Amino acid sequence: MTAPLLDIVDLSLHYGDTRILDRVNLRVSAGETVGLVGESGSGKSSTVRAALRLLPPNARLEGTVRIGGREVLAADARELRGIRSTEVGFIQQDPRGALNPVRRIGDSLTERLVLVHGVGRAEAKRRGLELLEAVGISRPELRFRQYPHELSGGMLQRVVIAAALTTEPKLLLADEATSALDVTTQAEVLAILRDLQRERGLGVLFITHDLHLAAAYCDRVSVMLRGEIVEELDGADLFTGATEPYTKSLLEAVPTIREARA
Amino acid sequence: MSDVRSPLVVAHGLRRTFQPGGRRDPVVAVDDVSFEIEAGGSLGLVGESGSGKSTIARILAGLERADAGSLTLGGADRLVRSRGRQARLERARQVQMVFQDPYGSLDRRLTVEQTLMHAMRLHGMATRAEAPARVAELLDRVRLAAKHGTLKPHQLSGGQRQRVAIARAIAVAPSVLVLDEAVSALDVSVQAQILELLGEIRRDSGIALLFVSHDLAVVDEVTDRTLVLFHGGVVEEGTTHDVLRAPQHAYTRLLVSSVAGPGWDPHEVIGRRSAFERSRETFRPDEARG
Amino acid sequence: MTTTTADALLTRTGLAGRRRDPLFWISTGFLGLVVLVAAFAPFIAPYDPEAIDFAAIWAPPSLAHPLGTDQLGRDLLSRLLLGTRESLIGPFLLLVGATVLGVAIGIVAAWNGGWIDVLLARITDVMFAFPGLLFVVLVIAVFGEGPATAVVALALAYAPVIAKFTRSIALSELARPYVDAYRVQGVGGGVIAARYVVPNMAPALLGYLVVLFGEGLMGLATLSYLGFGAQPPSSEWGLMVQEGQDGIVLGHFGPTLVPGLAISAVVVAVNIVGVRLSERMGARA
Repeated sequence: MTAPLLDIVDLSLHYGDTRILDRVNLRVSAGETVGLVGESGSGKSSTVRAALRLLPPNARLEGTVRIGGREVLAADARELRGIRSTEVGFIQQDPRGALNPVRRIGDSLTERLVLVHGVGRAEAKRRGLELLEAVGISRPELRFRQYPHELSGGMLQRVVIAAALTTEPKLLLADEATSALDVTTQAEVLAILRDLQRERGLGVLFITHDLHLAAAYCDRVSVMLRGEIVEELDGADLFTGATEPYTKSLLEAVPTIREARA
Repeated sequence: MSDVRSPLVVAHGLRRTFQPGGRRDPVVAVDDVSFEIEAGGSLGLVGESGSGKSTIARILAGLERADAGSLTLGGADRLVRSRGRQARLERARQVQMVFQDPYGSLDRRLTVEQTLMHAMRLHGMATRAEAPARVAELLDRVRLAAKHGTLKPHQLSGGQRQRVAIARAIAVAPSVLVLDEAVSALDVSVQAQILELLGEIRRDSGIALLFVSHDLAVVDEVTDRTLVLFHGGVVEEGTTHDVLRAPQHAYTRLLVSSVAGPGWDPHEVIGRRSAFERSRETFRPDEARG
Repeated sequence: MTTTTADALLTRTGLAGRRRDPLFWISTGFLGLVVLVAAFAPFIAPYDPEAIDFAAIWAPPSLAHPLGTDQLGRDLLSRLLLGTRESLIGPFLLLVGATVLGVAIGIVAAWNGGWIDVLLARITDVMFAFPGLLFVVLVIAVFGEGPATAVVALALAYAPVIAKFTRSIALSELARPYVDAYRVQGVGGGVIAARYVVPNMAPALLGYLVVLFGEGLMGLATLSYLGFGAQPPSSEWGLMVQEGQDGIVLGHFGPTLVPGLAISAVVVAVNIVGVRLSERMGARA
């Protein structure tokens, strides 16, 4: 068996005396989708940001994070850049914040390919256009020339997803990546991810507040509460197999159209 | 409810187009939409983004004009400009709105108390002497502690901010409350509390709700009747229970079956979507309304 | 709740940072001192700033003249102290005028869009393409030289710049839903803009205006230096630099260096204080 793509062992995070994460353990293997659910402030986003060391300088980290077998917390600046640019794709919650407002969509989409991976401009553009099309963006040639403010939020979210996939990472960290999308668009994007998982073993850490989606889409789901992982379940068992009171209370709060699914 | 009354809100043939930049064709955001809301009733608007649901909500709240059609509240036309400050304020008071982004919709310089006082004093809902007592009453009603009154938005959680936004809206005793994705940004447990609060407000004060959401399950909890919108037009209308459990129109069926649940498969959703797009060639939304 | 925790953390480091921010306090103290000097200069200046003493031309610093004297033997310290008022009031008035005009135009353009916006864009384009100093000189050529014209001319030159900046931040501010929330309550557009939107933009605006204060101070000093602004025997700092430069070739740096350093010190201090203040307001809001 190969090493997991993402292996987080006993990861703790403090800001001064405030504890944000408490011995978090998470593992994503090739071809696997692992869900991370919990309420705002439970530490879902902090976990991902900590794993990539995208934290303010006053953050204190303990534990181990390995991405593609490479040690992240001990890495020096060069190694860290290497890990971030080749191993991982990261999709953030806020697509507007993730894209440079004064650069064209096409430039944002291809810059990593050209600058870090040394792909030629024409080839980078071809791949970028292909991905835009794949994430369901109409008229990709036009979008390529446009600026972020000219696109709707849902469209931008898809651009960000495409951008994360340009460098063909093995691991994707998706922080509420599809939450802003319509159900059918969401399905389109998730179908692409599922295809990539089958074709080349992409591993996905899928952070979401949508428990129905987590249950339906993820192989395993970890439930977070106040910086700790309180329960880990198979996606299919999320609604039926939970034993932790917190998980149960969370599931009860989820609105459901009851008879419709019977 | 036995007596036959005329509905509180009557919209007929509403239409709104937007002119995008450049020389592109105008976009029809709302296309011949009609609906009614009873006093104390609640209507849900569902559909994907770009279906026109938010535009309709904004027209009712007076934030957007309509190009054609009529809209009355208690018999008074809401589409003509009101003359004079008093008339404008009175018309504004009747329809209040709660927005999606609970942080952005509060003035970040003002404390909770100041926000509520501003709304009440603007509409003469309380004298200077009465205001503090009214603020306390409102905070209690939206389940916020008195100490929250002195805080600013950035010191509150998302759910608390949305409670403040609701308190601000009901402070002026409106007859309709428009909620535009008002619980979409909240955690499920907070969402459940806010939905409960909305139910209470409706029961106690008889404020009618226009509830815009992409989340069908939430609409199911809050509303009696639902309007399904597609590309600006109404494709289906009925009691929420029937619309969501026995959808008649192909698009409603698509929406309902796309929601993630056991056995959900993204590829299947896409398949249904493209099947629907193909069927639109022969099945226009206009005809379905008939 | 993520945001609240993050805010709390930011505020806390902000507070701690401010307490341990000697640069901010030194700059504030210095500016306070400068204002006091401007108010009480006539009482603390050891000499009459215009008193000519041919016996002490280009005197080096001494007990009698702590900063030395200029080409007419006038006491540099006294001239510097008395020049404070004119050197600071000018840029202040200029900034107030340019701000009122610029912010009003910027907000109107952002709110209404349409032809007002287009007109503003054209005017600012022209102003950017046209060297600012040339425009100012043109205004002075028409209305005559003197400190008041210099202030008005510079204010007119800065207003479009401020308008453009205001417009850009107003656009994002107006997109925030609290503006719609006020509209739903029935508050009129003008009231929303003036009473709620402008104060919310204040942190961003302040940071920008402070930089312009420094520029204005230097701009006015430049005009005086060129002979378009303050006129002799005024001891406005820019004019002092200009009058002192004859001494440079003869090795007397004091008369240019002293007012030059004063200008630099005030500009730097104002920038530090302004940036920190706008950060503070931003963190609190």
